[in-house]
Amino acid sequence: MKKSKSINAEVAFPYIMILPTLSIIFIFLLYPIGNTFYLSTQNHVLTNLKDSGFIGLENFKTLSVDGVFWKSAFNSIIWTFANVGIQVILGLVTALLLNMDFKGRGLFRALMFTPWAVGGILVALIFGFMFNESIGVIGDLLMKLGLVNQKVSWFSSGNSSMLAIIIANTWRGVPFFTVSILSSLQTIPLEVYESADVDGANSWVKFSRITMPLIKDTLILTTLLRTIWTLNVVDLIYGMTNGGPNFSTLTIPVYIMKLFNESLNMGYASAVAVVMIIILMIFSAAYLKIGKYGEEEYY
Amino acid sequence: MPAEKIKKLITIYIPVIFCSLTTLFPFYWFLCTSLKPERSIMQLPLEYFPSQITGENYLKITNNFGFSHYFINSLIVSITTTLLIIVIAIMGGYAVSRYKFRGKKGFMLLLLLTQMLPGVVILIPLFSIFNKLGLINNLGSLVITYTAINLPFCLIMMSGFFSSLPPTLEEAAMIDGCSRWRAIFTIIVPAIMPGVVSSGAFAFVNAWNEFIFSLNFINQSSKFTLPIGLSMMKGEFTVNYGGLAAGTIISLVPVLLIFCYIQKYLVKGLAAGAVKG
Repeated sequence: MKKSKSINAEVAFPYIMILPTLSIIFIFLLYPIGNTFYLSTQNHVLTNLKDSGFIGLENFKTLSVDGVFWKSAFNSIIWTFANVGIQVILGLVTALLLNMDFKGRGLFRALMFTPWAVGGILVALIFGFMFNESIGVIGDLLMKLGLVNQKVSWFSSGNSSMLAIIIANTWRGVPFFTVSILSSLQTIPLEVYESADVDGANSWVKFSRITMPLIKDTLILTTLLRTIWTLNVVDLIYGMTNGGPNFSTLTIPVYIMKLFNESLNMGYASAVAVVMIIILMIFSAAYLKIGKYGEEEYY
Repeated sequence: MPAEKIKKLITIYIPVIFCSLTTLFPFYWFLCTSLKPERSIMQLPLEYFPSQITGENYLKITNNFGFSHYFINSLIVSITTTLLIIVIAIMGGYAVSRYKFRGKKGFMLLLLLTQMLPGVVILIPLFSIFNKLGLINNLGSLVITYTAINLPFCLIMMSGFFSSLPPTLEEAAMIDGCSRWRAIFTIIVPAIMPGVVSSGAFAFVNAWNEFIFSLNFINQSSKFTLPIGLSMMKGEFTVNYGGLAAGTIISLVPVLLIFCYIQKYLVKGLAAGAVKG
């Protein structure tokens, strides 16, 4: 009798240990997601609560003809692909560089990672100042280099605003790729390259036939994960342009936040959030499938 | 030999120097700005090396009533979040690393999926929850939210550190009559201190930098955290870039120090958790 009790205790032990985590995730992450789905079918405007109630898919109908929503969807695509595309290339180059043997490599590596620690809103403050029209250092440098011949008013046109926020986010995002790719590069045994040298392979052949195939999986997974995280960025865009001018840098998550803050239309904001959750679920499924998550035994 | 050296210079050192300059320049520029007197910040042509260095911006900002409040609020929120996460992640990480149990796969999948979730899609329901609990304009709402969003990654990271230790360690202690709880906290945890410190540091940095929830849950200026306080200052005195730069530099110092310390563990954690190597 006593023995079976202790076996039960042993079976229950891991569940007791994960209970706090599970409760927190259920109450503060999963329940809110469910609630977002529920709210998306409701008319729920904080300034007009007496008309609240179930309206079915009405919010989604409004959304399908909402020009600002479509503009933000289009901007999200540009924002995400431009950022990820530039960052993966720069990340690969810096990782290859850091994988070479040279004096001061440790220091260089530490320096290259620092932008990662800077919060989105601080990046927005720093780059907002650097892109300032009259006293911004970026315009000044471009003039000194002769690339432009007058001051650039970055935040008055849509395209240059988008360019400015992409540059700022790239500065912050490259280290993530560098770290991930570098850790993958370091798993390639040196002998592989040495035997390629014996066969007389040049650098390009070594890169395309050895390095790339071996880091391909990491590259794909890192890129997918980063695609999801880039799409989710709010603070940096909010701080630098707040979606302007004329919605030209408004992305879907920034739109959700503005709907909540400015129109207090919780139902409609939730409908946009539901669309975003569905898009993310597709990307996450791809990520889990390609990464073969859930198929292996954990430890 | 010189040909070899020139090749190394072109293929390695020039790109390295270029990368370092672009990475460091924004830091340098804000540091420079924070040390310049206000009038020379607004002056053209721009001074790339300050002709006159002053500490007045730092003095002004640290004497500013608001700023010191923001700093303390950020410290309170980040430290509380970090401590909570450490305790909960030790428990969960230990279970995941040492036990096989039904539902473990599902649990791990849940942890991974929460990594993909943007804060903004749960913002509205969380706001309602905290509103009902009376936690709007209370730093507690931030502590709870930051714990929830950072816990999954920290737990995965922590379990990796547990797995690097042989189970014989606590088994021996338990044979000597030590309870499992005691064995975990007095023998295992001290042995994985680097893991505890780095998951804690990860949580601290994220809590320190968080903006969206803080902006929406707190609207009383005495309760602002640093990111909100600084972004509000930009609107408050649009011309005082010196003060803003000094405030930004001060708020960067803790995270950069922590980051230097944890980066090698973070790479390991990334390889074990979010990004499979």
